[in-house]
Amino acid sequence: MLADNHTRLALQRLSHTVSRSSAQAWAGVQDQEAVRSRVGWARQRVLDQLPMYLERLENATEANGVQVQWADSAQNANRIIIEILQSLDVKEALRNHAPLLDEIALDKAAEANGIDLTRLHPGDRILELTNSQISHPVWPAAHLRIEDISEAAREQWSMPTTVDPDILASAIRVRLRRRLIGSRTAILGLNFAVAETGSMVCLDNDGHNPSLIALARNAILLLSVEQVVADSEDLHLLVEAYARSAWGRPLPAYVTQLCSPSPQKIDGPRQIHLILVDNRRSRILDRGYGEALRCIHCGACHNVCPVYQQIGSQGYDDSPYSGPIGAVINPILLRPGLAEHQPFLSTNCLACGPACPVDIDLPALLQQHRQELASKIASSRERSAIRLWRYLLRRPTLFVNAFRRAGRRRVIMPRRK
Amino acid sequence: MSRSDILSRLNQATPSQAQGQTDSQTPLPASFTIPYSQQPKAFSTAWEVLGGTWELHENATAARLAFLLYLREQNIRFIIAWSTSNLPLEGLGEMLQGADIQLVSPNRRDIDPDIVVGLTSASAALAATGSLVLVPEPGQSWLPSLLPIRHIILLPTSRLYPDLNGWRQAWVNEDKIDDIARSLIITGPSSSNDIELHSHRGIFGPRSMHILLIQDD
Repeated sequence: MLADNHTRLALQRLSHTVSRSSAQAWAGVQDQEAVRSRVGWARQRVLDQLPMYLERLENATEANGVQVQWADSAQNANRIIIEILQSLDVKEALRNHAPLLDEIALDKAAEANGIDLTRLHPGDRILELTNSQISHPVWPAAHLRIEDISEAAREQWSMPTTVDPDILASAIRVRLRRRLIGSRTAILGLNFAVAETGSMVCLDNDGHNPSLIALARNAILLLSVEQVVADSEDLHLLVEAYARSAWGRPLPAYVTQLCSPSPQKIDGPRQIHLILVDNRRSRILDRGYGEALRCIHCGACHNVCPVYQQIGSQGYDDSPYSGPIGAVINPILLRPGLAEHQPFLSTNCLACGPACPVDIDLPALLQQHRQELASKIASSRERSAIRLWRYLLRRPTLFVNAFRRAGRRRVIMPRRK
Repeated sequence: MSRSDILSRLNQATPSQAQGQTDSQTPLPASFTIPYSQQPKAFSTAWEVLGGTWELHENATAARLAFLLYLREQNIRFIIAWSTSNLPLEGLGEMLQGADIQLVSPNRRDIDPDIVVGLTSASAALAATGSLVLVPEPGQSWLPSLLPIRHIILLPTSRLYPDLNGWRQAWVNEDKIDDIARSLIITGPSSSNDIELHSHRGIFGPRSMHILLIQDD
């Protein structure tokens, strides 16, 4: 399961670089612990009354002229999207960078229904170009070498080989801008939505979200149900926490907020659909892992995880959620039995807990999974053996004597042949 | 059917005893607020950290002349811009027309890739982070701040606020909650680090940003 040498080095370099800049960004905050605690509170208070805040959001967005639908599963979310696109007689659309859209496998659903869907985020475009999997929630193409990107560009775009990243980035820019200017329909995964005002929010540094929203005539927005925020004050705290942890900046380069369909002469889509997606989040809450739904997908836990840096995202069963948070939610989010081993992808170093800007006790949740799984799969003989082992460990003298006897009888050290 | 299913499941998963446990809000530490008189300096410092360039002018006349000089030095002949009635320099349209510099209204069908400069103002700016707040209105398109390679901003200093919190509170007091909810907050030029963490500017938004601060208070 170890990633190849280059990927491991690339992820370690990423982790080191981002951790350092994130630490610097947080160092500028007066009383960091109080701020993190407040941010965690902002998330938890919504989770504690999630149905109420979702209904509030629905009322606010509908009052703003947005059409709201609910999807209990990935399949239903895709069905709704395809139906909307077909009703608009749309054959091509652009999408942004959002783990939710990967979670529901939107790209496959679009392809199966003859919709030409283009990923507008530069990192996602590079993944498509090189036929690679996402390696990090915020830096999706961090594991790729410039030589590999250049080779893929040479094959598909007939570009001369280059190791100049600016030349490659310019080539990507030209192609993406051409699609952007020519397109009318955008599908976006939201970072947050504000229950108080119905504001729908996307964050980025390259500008693909505001460009998509300003130019689109039709917009389909998806929000996973736990990403609703109570009010603008909480939103701004979360945006700041996200920017510090994900990018080491005080704010993202672009905080794009959309409330309602735009009238003529004002930028923005004339028609907006909002889809609220559950897809097993209610199950995560029900199983006692609701604290994990505070996650804002900043990748901070990835940047300190020694296991993730060794195995990359490929150790997490093709889920868009990797690292410690992935190991907590995937056993419930993915189909039963697929990801039960993931909580064991941990050395119990406890680094992820303090790194989390929304105060999720990731180590405790991983332990909780392990205990649940151990009690399920251990046979009665195994459980008896573990009870005996625990008994002996607490009694050192007895433990040593038992081992000596076992050694004399060659129970644990059979005679060499 | 999905809606009632989802809400029903969430209601079952969120026991009533959990509600109210988070009622007592963890207070935020009081943050340092930049005094009004220091906001232009703080803004320009933060702006420079983001990689932007700036000028500060004592009045609109000085700003107008400096702007014309800047355009001539940079050999700029076409600009995608807000409508002149939304820009905070009176007589700007006539001055540019006299200098044979054309202001182009943003229209996605007519976007000329050779127009490299966008001109806007901002509804607000945040001194602590060097951020701009743009609210979409007729004549105040987001496109001049997103599509061209270079973004020029004309900003009266009276539109400065200390930080995100200060701006939000001020606009809440002015009953502008709706504007807060639909604004675009820009902090620095467009950047991406997707190729071996190399920082590249201008993949979608502008590569460079230049601001003329106009003292008006």
